[in-house]
Amino acid sequence: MFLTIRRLGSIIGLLMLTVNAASQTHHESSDPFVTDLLDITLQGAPGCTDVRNVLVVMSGEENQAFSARRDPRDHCHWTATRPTGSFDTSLEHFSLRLGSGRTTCKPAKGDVDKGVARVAFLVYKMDVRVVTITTSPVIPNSYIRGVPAHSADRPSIPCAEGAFLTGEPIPDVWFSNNALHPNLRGRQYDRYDLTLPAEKFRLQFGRVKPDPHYPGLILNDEALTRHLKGNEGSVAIQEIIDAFDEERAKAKLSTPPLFSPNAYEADRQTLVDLATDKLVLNVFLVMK
Amino acid sequence: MTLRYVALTFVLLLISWAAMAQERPIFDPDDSVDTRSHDDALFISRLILGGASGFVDDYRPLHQNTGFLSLANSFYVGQFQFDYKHSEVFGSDAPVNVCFCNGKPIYFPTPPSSDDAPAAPPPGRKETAQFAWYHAVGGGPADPPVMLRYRLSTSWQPIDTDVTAISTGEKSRVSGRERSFGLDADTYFRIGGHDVWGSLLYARTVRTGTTDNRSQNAIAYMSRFPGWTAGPLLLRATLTIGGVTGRGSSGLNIVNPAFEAFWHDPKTRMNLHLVWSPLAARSGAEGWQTHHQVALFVDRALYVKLFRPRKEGVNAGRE
Repeated sequence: MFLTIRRLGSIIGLLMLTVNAASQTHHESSDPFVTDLLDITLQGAPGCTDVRNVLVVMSGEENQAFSARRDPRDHCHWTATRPTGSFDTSLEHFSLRLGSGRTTCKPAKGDVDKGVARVAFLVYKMDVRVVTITTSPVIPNSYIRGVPAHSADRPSIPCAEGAFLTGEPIPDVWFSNNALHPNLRGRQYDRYDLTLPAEKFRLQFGRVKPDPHYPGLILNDEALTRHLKGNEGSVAIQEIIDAFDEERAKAKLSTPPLFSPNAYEADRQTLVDLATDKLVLNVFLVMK
Repeated sequence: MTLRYVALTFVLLLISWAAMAQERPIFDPDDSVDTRSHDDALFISRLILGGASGFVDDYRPLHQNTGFLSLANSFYVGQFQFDYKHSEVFGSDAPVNVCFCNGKPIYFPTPPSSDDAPAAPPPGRKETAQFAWYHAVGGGPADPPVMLRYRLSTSWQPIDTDVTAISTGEKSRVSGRERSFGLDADTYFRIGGHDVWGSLLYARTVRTGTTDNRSQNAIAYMSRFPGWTAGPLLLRATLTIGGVTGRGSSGLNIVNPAFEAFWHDPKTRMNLHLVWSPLAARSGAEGWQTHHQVALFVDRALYVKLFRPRKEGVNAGRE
């Protein structure tokens, strides 16, 4: 009898715990959910307190990034309201610019009870730069940031983010270790987590809209950064063509590895036609 | 719709011509151009000059050093590429004598037997026409699709041989030719997260009307490793393995690595190539033998024309 009462007590206790846990769990849905509120949780090193500013990029539209507000009670918790209206969680994905880093891209899940979309990001140590690009003479250029998924940051997804280049600073561009020439580094080696694949920042000359299907020149690659001195540099048309040639030889331009003199001439002629042989690319990399 | 028909026709051509192909001459530089990099048609005429020691023609050693000259004309439009290439290989012709013994002509030096690797055609001129189709495959949200090329080649080389009759000393000329048809298809796949690049080569070469008529079929896979830099030089390696018929050995009988150093001089716009290509080939008569081919050559574009260039000024651009 005593044993039966104890068993009943245990069952009731378990039931109460389950009910309590259920009441604390948000009703998250992966079904289509429309809202303009995004609830963001930051996880991992270097710690949420290091993050001072969060910009949200939705579905790769870099030029329409919007800022998030920190929860005063929880430094790992940020909220953002999309200024241009609501979005459907089943259609969009998000990434963050943190000032000291960036995140992968992730879809959000709708919280039906709270009326918000929720997303959590791991914050990694990485080498990022604020990149400012101008050309002389001014020609229309766009860029695409190809961001890989990371297995430790599920459910991150590969994505392409981009915009038309306006000459304004582009925040938190993730540079691989190889892309940072020793005199560009300025930080300790252990700053960069070698297990992470960096994004590819593809510069698309003469494009008024970013095109995810066009390879472009990878800016955060040693083929181009070796022409910079310190954190800035002017890269002339010949060096741009050489960088194209090197990236093509290393199979980084979405073709087989090629030593193609004809491709070299095609690059030259395309740039010459765009800029009458005087193109200078000014790149400024600002460390945070 | 028209493009689809053209693509379908091309695929049918590939299938129907699948019994043909050729190894690229050592002095034929890459000429792939990613069709996404320019919206307009492009024409490039290129001159190539140089020399090679131990020249090898379609896996057939010539056993002499040669000079060469090539004029390559390439026209790129949409997803297609058309080439016409004229090349001259300079070397010495071995004198051929003939004895009409028992009514049959017997040539000296004696041509290689049917279970030995055929002799390369004598140095001379060759005309080559090529047609290529570019097709983007794969890719993903973070990466653009990969652009691969599929190319048909046909070449024609006249072979004129001066023959001296041993008995009379009378000279005559034998006029023949060598025809070659080829398919060269880029391949791309991923293994363990790594890109694997290559080309599948399939070829048929037929020599007729000469003192040494031979034919061969070749199928090979060329693995193309990504290049690397050493100062101003770009370096790369390729590895070709395959089988060639008509030499008394079946199965895998060709192993051909190649190493290339490439340097572009921006002032003269010339490209300097140094290629070392050791060829290990097996024949029924001689087993495995290695031939070392080293070529040094320069190329330079003579004429480059990007048709309908866009020069609308500051706001010019493409979407």
